[in-house]
Amino acid sequence: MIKEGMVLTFILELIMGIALLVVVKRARAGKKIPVIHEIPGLKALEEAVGRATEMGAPIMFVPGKGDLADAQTYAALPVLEYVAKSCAEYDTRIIVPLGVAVVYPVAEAVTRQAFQVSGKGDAYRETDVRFINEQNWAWAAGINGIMEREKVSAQILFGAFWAESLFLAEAGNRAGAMQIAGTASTSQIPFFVAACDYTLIGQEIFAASAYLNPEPSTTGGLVVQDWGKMLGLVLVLLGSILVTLGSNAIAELMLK
Amino acid sequence: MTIFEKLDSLDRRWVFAFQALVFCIVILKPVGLALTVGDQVRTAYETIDSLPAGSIVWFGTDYQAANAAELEPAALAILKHCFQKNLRVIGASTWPEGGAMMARLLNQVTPDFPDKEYGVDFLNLGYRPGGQVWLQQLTDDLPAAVGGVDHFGDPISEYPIMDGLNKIQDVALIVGIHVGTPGTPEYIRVITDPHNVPMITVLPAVSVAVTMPYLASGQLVSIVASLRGGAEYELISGFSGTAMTGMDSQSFMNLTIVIFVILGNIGFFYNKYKKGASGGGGANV
Amino acid sequence: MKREGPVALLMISGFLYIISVIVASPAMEPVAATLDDWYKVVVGFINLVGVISLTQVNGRAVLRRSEGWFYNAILLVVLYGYIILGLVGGLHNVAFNLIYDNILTPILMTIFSTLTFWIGSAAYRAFRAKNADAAILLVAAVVVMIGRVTLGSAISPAIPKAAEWILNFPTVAGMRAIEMSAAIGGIVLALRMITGLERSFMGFD
Repeated sequence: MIKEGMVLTFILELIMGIALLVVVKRARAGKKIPVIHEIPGLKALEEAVGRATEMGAPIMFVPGKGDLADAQTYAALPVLEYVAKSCAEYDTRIIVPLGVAVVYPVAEAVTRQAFQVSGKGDAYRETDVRFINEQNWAWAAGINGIMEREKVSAQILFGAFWAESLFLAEAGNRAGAMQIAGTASTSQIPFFVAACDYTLIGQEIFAASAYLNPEPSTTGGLVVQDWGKMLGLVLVLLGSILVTLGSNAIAELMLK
Repeated sequence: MTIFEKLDSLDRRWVFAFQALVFCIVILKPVGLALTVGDQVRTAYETIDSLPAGSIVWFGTDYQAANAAELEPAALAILKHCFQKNLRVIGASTWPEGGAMMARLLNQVTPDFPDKEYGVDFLNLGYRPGGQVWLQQLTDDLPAAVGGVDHFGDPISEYPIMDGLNKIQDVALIVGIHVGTPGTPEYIRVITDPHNVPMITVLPAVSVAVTMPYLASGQLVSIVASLRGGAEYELISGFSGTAMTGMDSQSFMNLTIVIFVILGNIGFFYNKYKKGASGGGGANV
Repeated sequence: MKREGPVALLMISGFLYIISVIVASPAMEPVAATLDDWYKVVVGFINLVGVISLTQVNGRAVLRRSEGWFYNAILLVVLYGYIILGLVGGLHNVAFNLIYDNILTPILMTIFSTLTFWIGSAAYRAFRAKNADAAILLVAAVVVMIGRVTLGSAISPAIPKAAEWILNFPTVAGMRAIEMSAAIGGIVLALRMITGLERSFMGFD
């Protein structure tokens, strides 16, 4: 019935799915769930908007180069929503340059909605959410051009990035922009750490939604995320011990 | 401000200028540092060398023109090696520019192998949209997944190279030239791991560290890394190319960066010491 | 309905897709194949939306004679000119390939190559031995930078070995930890989406 190699995946996803629904239900009922610790990079988003407002300069939000099949893109969108809302409240301009056409209508809808719910629908400038190019270097060069021309005060890089990450971050640094980055693209994390003021690493970007919008569904997800991580850790430790003792039980279970 | 104080905060243009200067000098006057072939490239070479003549090697050209300078030397040396061993080559890509990249490789290599014929010994299937979804479809029905046509829109059914090739599992080896997503992890996830198809991957230097776990787990045969990997492959295969000439410049560019890092630290510690000596409270960073 | 419709569609298609990946059933195969085909078609068409956005932004700049409008005009001419060239002759078109090989490719290679300068300035600024952790990072970076090029073995055979060790063990350990935790984060996000708990990406809460 279940495909070969999928038994463990199925069991783990089922456990996590059930755990998610239970934790969210508990949270909605007002029962106690673990507290979320602070992530400095997300706290700094307020500072970035404040800085832009003081300077009267726009903020650039770059939601990565991932498409709609990339979980990182979905992790970036709630952050875009939060920053766009803050920008709308403080009458600060936000520029969203897209490098993936399929993400463009989604990012446009999220930004527009953020302005509308803040009661600033008229302040939304539709050309500020713009598609630049699918070609990542043309996209990065376009962003750098905007950075220089518009004198951007802060650059927020959130989502999946590839080789263009350093190109974007160093250009932002050169322009004197405050920079906050978040990515689970492991090969690009060192570049962001080197060039940005704050960097969210790996799973921290998936926690952003819960931190910025703490409600039962998001915080519940974060709790399950941590449980899942612990479960993974147990499996790794157990597997390592068993392999050391000469047993391939965990590896064989994964192949079933 | 003394020179030592300035070292802590040099204008980035000094770094750029010295890098450019060093690059020009080394390109014009190469030192000729010795190069040895590492285990990874040796494994890749031996894997291809051991394939029986007529086997099909799948080139996943999932990169774009920007990466050509770094990855093409290795790809060219491997492609030449395949042709020398009378292996048949099929190229395809999940990246929009990938079809053009495969065409570039073939245009550079085929003049050296005039007996090789399109559709018989090699084929360029070009780009197909869908990323990982398309890779998955290749495992079910390859001709259908590519829509029955090649890179140029010509029907593939009459090409002899397609005889008996119904699924991607029918190829003997995958050579993935990858720079991002879709790339090596996607190939491993849907093709090489579930269907036991061996894969060699040609990667830019920056992707090597993140791909190492797949090598350690046995899901990859070998990683041919960056220009250095290309140079090693040129050396072991005897097909000279541009990678060997780039080795000296790469070495000295890295050395320049290291020197600037050291200078920056000298400036940093000098300033820290000065702050401490002037009664700044003994900074303890 | 405007809100419930997309959420319901996502939930149904999400569950169907997961079932088709996990369950070995001939009945599920056409479902997965159809969803795969839909995705490919949607992605193909959505590129048109990108072209429309480019035309809107740049066309408006040209019409309003905004600062630098000339560059916006060039972009539109190149965009539509190259599309027409491709449509007329396909990939056999000599002019199409000449432009690609002799203009686009060298430009992209040049932009990519500038990374070497950015790496230089970023490394110079970032690698300061401010504390013990930063000092370890600094030493590891220097060893890898020298050990991965021919200069390393020319200085000492121990340097490439040390670089290999750093890449094979501490780096792989760190990368695995980040990759695994990020993968779990992605799974939970996907579960939240297909159970309808996460909706922010739809442009409404």
